[in-house]
Amino acid sequence: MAEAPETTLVKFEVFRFGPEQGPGEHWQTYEVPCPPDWVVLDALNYIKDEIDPTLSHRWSCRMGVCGSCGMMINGTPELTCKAFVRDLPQPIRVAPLANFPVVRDLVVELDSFVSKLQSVKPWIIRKVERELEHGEYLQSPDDLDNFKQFSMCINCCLCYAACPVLAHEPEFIGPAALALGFRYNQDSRDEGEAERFETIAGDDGVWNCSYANECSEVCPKNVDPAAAVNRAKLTSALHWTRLLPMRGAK
Amino acid sequence: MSSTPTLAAREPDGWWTGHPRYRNYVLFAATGIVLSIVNVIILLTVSAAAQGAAAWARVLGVLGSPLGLLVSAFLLLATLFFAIRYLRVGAKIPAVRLGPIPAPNMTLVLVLQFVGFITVSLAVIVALSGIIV
Amino acid sequence: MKLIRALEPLWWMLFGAGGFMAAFFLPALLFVLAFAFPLGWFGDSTETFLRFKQLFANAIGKTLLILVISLTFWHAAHHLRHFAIDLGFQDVQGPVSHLLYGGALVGTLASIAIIGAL
Repeated sequence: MAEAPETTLVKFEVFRFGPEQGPGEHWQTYEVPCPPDWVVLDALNYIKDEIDPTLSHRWSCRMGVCGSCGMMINGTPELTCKAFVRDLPQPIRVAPLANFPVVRDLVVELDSFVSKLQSVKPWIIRKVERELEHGEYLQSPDDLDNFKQFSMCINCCLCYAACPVLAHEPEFIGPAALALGFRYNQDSRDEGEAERFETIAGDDGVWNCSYANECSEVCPKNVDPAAAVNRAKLTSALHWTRLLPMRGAK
Repeated sequence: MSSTPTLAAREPDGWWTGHPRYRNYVLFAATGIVLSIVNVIILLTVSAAAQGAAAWARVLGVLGSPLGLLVSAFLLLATLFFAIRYLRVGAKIPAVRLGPIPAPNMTLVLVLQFVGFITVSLAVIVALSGIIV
Repeated sequence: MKLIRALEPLWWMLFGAGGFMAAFFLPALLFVLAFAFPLGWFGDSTETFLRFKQLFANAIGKTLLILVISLTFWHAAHHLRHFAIDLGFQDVQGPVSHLLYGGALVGTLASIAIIGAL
């Protein structure tokens, strides 16, 4: 039988907030025996299972693809399933994502994000749907390169938690949603650029971005939303000056 | 929509001086002030040139004073910091498909921008140095 | 604020063009005017005076200088507008924007007047 791995006692300071805990937030300290290969999510699950069942947090795949477990770790938005305990200075402070209202403990309300995603119409828009007998759409590797990286977003909202603009303008549509809108605008199958223009280039759209680049710095999937948003500024400006027609414009 | 009472959204930790990347960004954003001051210095110098050789000599005297040189050194460093960050992050933007024109390679854009920066800077310095002519 | 919002692409294009002008020209110009010339590295004050006028006191030179200086003012105005929001002044961004873009306009007119007189 394999030996149990050696554990180190690691100090965690965890943000707590909840209706039964009184007004405002407070920090609770936990000491967790962590084997060397643990990530912060393992420690949070241990806290819930063995120490304090009242702690609430979101998680799912525990391997960096579902986007559920994003939290502030020592002030930086990260996926807790990708943050190794051994790499972090103690005490490890875990807090809910910034720029979102907190429902309870480490769980934030993401309704605003969901509606922002919907607002950019993230689906292929065609002026006239293609008949089945015309066969499939053909795309070259270059066609795919134009938008592929922006389709890798897992909606983890780390970019929203890092964005200094969102902190002051909560109506800003934000990096992930704008990158997704741009992804569809750049897709050769799509003809919806004109339909998305009012949202992407509107009052809450790309013009609010101040190019801090923080969104791209924290993105766990290398989507580079800052590139998408700022390229969308260029295309939007060219559309506005009529120098570049929009696909799908009437 | 949730009806649970929520805690108001919190600003990102370390905004704006607590995190090295935030500090870098804030300094970059503040270079607008530096660039405006540099503009004013250039305009004052041009104005002196328009007034004549005596005014020009006076302005150069002020700029060449110890305090003048100290301030200019800070302004030059800040302007270079601005230029390098602007060209670096700016290189991402043109690497986009524009209608039928395919997207240029991002690294190529970055290299071209810095080549342009060095070329123009050298051209200005050489032209004003009197080496040629 | 409505007018400012309606012209966002314009402010951004001025910001972009101004950024390139500033990045490409300002470091070298500042180096020459604030160090090389005052310290006599490129000749004495009379020589540098004549050379500066020879280079810039013509239509092309003046146009270039006006473009560099005025576009840099517009770049700075737009950048500082966003900076003000980032610092928490979003509730007064209307007056702040008017002040900054108004300042850039004044700077542009001043550039044309001063450089034009060269």
